[in-house]
Order: sequence, then structure tokens, then C-alpha cells
Amino acid sequence: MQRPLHVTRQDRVRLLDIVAAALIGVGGYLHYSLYIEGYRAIPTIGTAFLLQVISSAIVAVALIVHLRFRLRVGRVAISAPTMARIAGIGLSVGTLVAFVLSRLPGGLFNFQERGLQPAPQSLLTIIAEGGAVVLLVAALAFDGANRHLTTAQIPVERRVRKHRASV
Amino acid sequence: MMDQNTGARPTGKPAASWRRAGLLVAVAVLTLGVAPWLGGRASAAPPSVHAASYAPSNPKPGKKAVHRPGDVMKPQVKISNFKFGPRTLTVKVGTKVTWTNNDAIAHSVNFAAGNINSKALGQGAKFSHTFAAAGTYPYICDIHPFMHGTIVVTA
Repeated sequence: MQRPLHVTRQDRVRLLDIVAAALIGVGGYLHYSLYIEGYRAIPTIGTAFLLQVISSAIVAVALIVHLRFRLRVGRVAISAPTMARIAGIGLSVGTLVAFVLSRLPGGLFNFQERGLQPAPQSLLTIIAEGGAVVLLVAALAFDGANRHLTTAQIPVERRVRKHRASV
Repeated sequence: MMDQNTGARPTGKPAASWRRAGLLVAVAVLTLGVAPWLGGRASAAPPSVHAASYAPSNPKPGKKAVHRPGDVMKPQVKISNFKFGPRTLTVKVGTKVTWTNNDAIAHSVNFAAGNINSKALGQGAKFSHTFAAAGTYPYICDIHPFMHGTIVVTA
């Protein structure tokens, strides 16, 4: 007989990470195609597009492959998935901020573009990067709540086990 | 400093399957990511040489084309790599100037005066205008306002 599928909170967090990685991958691919189609010729902006593509690939892989280590900085220990989520949020927010700046009168590094041009890449990038931010913030929140729940439950479970043993 | 994170899951099987699935997706992402780089580099068109669009209609073989102010050039402007080429084009009154967008990104031709505006030009699209009066006509791409060009119309 097959065991019923039990989806844990951790599985849901994992799914959020994978979908966010896919969205970041889409954002990176769109930047890559624009880079090839001519943005590479624009000073600074071309390099920025290339950096966005490389960063997207690294962050997407880091979100998919959950490495099991923690980076300890003083008294704070940050797990690798948390670092990947923070990096993903930073990358997507940075991409969206750069998009907005390039539409303002001052432009970005002397580069200026109007509205949702180039279409449809601009709109797709906004959806992909915005979606990634929402999912990664949710993943951080769920993961944090999950850890809090787990640590709070340990003493209760121990007490229950002790009680059962004594009965 | 790094330390190992131990015992995140009570059972080993789901964690292992997640990790295996994650690795498979990672390999797929890397493969998809690297493939266009290899293909794109091989098929990428060589960067356009702007000097070619500045060439006069009958250049002498072996001699480099040099343009002086007042020279009348071929009435064509190429839009390539987010630039109008030539940036300043000199033509005679009554000449029909044609702009061709060679970029994959859409551009437009918008003059500051005279209500001369093209629609968004996709790759390969053309826009033409005949200049009936002498003068200097600066223009931009309205989608990318940092792209500038000028048409000098002489009598």
C-alpha cells in the first residue's frame, strides 16, 4: 500500500524557492536576449545587463540546490538558502529599481527608455522579477516561522514523551 | 566560518528526493543557460562598422572616405546599435531621406519641429521624409531619447 503524500511546511518553502528561481531565470534570460539584440553596444548598460544575467544564473542555481551550510558572522548564523533568498530579493529589487530609473528624466548612466519598451520584454521582466520578490519574501517568512515553530515544539514533545514513559 | 547544518528533517527520503530533483533542475538550467551563449556567439552578426554608412556614393578605390561639412551624402540613415548613422546627414532641398532600423529593438524618428514623427520601427522597418525647405533639423528616437541625429538641408 502506498503511503499518503504528506506535504510539510518545509516542502512548501522549497516549492516557493524553486518557482522564484524559475522567475529569476526568466528575468535573466530576457536580459540575455536583450543584451544579444543590441544592449551590449550601450556603454555601462551593456555591462550591467551582462552582470544581471550572470547574477541571475548564480542565484537561480543557489535557490534550487539547497546547500547545507551556515555562514556565521559574529553571533548571527545565516543558512545558505536564506542567503540565496536575500540575494534573489536584492537582485530582483535592483533590477526593478534600475528599470524605473531608466524611465526617469535623468535616465540611468545616460541611458533612457520610454514606457514599457522594449515590448514585450519589459512587461515580462517586471512580472518575473516582481513575482520573484513576492515569493522569496514569503519563503523567508514561512521558513522563519517554521524554525520558530520547530524550536518551540521540542520541549513540549520531550515532556509528552516523558509523560508517556512514566504512565 | 561554516558549520554543518544537521538534522533538518526527521526522515531522509523526502530530503534526498528534493535534493535530487533540485540537482536535476539545476543541471537543466545550466544547460539551457549555456546553450544560447554557444549558439549566439557562433551566429551573432559582426558589429556594424559605422564608417561604411558615411561613405560617399563614388569613393575612389583604396582611398578612405572623408566627409567635410557641406558634402551631400546618400540620403540614408541607418539605425544600428542604438545610434543614428551618420549622426549628421547633409542633403539638398527636396531630397527624400530614408531611415532603416537595423536593430532588433524598436526605434523611432521624431523631429523637434515640423511634426515629423515615425511610428515605432521594428527590425528592418523604414521611414522616409522629403525635406522641402533648407535648414537644420535635429531629431531623436522618442523611445530612447539619448539617441540624437541631425539633418542639414542645403539650398
